[in-house]
Amino acid sequence: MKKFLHQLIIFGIFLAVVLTALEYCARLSPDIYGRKIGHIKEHGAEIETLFVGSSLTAYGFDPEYWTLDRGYNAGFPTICFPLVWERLIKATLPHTPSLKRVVLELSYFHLDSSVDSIEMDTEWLNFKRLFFENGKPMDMLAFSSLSNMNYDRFPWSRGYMRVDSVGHVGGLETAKKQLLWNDRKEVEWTLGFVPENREVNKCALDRICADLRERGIEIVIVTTPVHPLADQLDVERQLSDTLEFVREMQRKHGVEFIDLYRMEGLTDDDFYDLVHVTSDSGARKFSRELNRRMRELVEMKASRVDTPAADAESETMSSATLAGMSNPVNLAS
Amino acid sequence: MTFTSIAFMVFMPVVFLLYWLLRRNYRAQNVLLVAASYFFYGWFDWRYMGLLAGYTLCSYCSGLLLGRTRRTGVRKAILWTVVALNLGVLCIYKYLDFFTAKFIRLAAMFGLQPDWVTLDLVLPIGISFFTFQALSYTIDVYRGRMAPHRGVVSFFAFMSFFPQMVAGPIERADSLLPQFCRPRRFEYAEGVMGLRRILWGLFKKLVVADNCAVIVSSIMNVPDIRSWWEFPLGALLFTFQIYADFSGYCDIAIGCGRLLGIRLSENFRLPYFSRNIREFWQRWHITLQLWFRDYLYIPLGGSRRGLGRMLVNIMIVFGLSGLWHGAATSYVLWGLYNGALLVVFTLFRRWRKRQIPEVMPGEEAVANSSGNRFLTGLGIAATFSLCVGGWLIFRSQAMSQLTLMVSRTLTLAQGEPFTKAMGLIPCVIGIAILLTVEIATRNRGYALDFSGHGLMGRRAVRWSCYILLVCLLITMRGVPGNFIYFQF
Repeated sequence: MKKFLHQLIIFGIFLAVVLTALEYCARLSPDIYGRKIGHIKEHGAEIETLFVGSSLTAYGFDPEYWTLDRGYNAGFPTICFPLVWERLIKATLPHTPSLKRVVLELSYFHLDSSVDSIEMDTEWLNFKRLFFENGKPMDMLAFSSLSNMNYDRFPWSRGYMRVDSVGHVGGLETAKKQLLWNDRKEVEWTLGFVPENREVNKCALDRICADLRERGIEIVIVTTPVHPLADQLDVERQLSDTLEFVREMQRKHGVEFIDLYRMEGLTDDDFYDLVHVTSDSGARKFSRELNRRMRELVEMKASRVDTPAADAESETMSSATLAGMSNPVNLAS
Repeated sequence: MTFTSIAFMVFMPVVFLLYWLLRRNYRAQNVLLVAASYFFYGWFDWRYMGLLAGYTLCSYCSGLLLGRTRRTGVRKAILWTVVALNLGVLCIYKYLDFFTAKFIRLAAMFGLQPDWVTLDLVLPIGISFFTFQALSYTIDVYRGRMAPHRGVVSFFAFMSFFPQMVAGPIERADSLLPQFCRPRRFEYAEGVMGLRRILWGLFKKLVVADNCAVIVSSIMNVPDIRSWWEFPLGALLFTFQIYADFSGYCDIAIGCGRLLGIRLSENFRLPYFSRNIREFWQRWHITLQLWFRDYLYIPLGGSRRGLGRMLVNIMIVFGLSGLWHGAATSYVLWGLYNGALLVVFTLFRRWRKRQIPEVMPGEEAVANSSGNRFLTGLGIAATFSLCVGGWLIFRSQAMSQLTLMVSRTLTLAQGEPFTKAMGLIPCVIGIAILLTVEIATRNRGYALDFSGHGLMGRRAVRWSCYILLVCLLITMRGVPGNFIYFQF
């Protein structure tokens, strides 16, 4: 028994040394998170608008069509607001002295994003949980994340990222079929309402807004386009709760809101699936529309500053935008 | 608590250390094993701990009662009561909803609308396995093959031994029970073997099975949008997935048993290298096949009552074997498919023997003759192909899905672009390592058996292999999923 335990301990030490070395090597490898953070650190002084969001932003927003100022797409293929705060905004603020605006993507299901699953969606060999659990969101270990052969499972990690791994499955036709299979109750596919995640994400988003406003940075919440078929996913509750939360942020922090949930002019060909626009035609249309709406917003704000009477107009605009946010009842009809 | 969870990584070392601290008192070790096993089982669903205890008490008491009387009528009554009880509970949990739904559908065809509802019961994990283990004990005592067991704790340990309770191997009382009734000594070689088997089992499950599962699900769950060539690919990957998943589980179970000084039965012997379908069933899920042979096939008459009866018996055994896997038409169909293959093989073998008896006395001769290597290879390839076909039936969730997959394959239907090509890389690497290691060590006791001399006998080489496997486990693991056989 003694010999057995002795050998086991020696082997354990040996294994730990090898894994640490591999971890170090893996951290040196390029990845989307490292690349984007690296870019922001290097060129942060030039960035005036930072686009933050999930894959919907990462692949859906093309800065080529941003004419307002110098923008940078810092989207990653998932979203979890505590991590957005800890790993992105806090990490980039010291390097972006010219930052005027943060455009935050908020689709109807983003507040439901799992906090745990992004940290690690497997129990097995969860290095972070084993050794680094300290109650704070933090990056995953690089070595562990190399297993991410689908590339979009641990987007916050240092795993490689494939550009074409957009979407939950890929293909609007697939999404349609999935809805069909949902009806048959043979395959579950939903982006469901998760109250506990909502609470955590709302707190984090509230904190992001408060902190950015304190620094004088403007915040614009944007809803990204969703295919009308997504209504079949029973999203009323998520939509109304998200809308309520946006209203609260407007009241508390004076954030701006642009609703492109039901953006016009998008066809089936512009969607990868129910919630992702394609990175070519879909992204082009979405980016142009976002740019146009932002220009309108900026011009309106400018005129508000010029004429006090513009305040009333601005209020009207804000309300109009809110009214435009997908009312589930209207959508269903 | 599955073998691949963090919880088990903590649970197993704690049990291991406590267990060997109690090495001077094997009864205390048994108490610890029972407590640990119920804790392990309760982790899945504590409500079914009572069910497991009930099964155990029922079998224990039936053994004692059978030991007290010699009157055939009474003994028969005890036996059939226990069989009815055990199978009754199994049927309620596993088949009641299935048959009720079928009945309602059948009645609807005749315009009837029976006012029945399905109960939507949650299937207790491992119920099929411990039911069969309990039955084998009672039947063996009835037959006089073993004496009734009197030690309560050791019997509970036998029925609930956590490494094999939820998904086998299905142990016989005469091989496992005596091991709980004698002192156990820790042996270095056994401990090392246990760890090696656990490591290999984890590799099979996490790298091979879990990676294949992603592709298989993406193909088989939505067959109406998949292209024709994806179904053979999906069936092929599922063939490796189910082997890696189940044999991986068994490797871990056997490894844990060895660490605790308990020997469990082997459940697999390179089944995909079988030369014919009969041999396949002698190498796949061995303990279940032996159970069916001893407690169903032979009592039905086996091969003693003529060819016709033997073929019927084969079909009955395989039909029930399919049903044992689950309450679904696809499982029954899979069982009947294998039964039919075995029937055809039996008839073919008899015909061959009559045609050229001096050249072909039996398939063993074919394998042993170096001149017939080609035929052996052909046999392996044909058997493997038939197995792949069988797994396609097994994996389909509904008959409509199976017919859709087959029809799309036959009509060369085109579907959406295949987006999982990158996911194939870890599958191919995993399968290649799996096959290489298992073929290379086929004449040894188990896959990572490095005992002996030569290069693999060196510690540096051995440890490098272990570390490589651990690295592969971390870097190439698939999306974690439960063991397939947990649902049975």
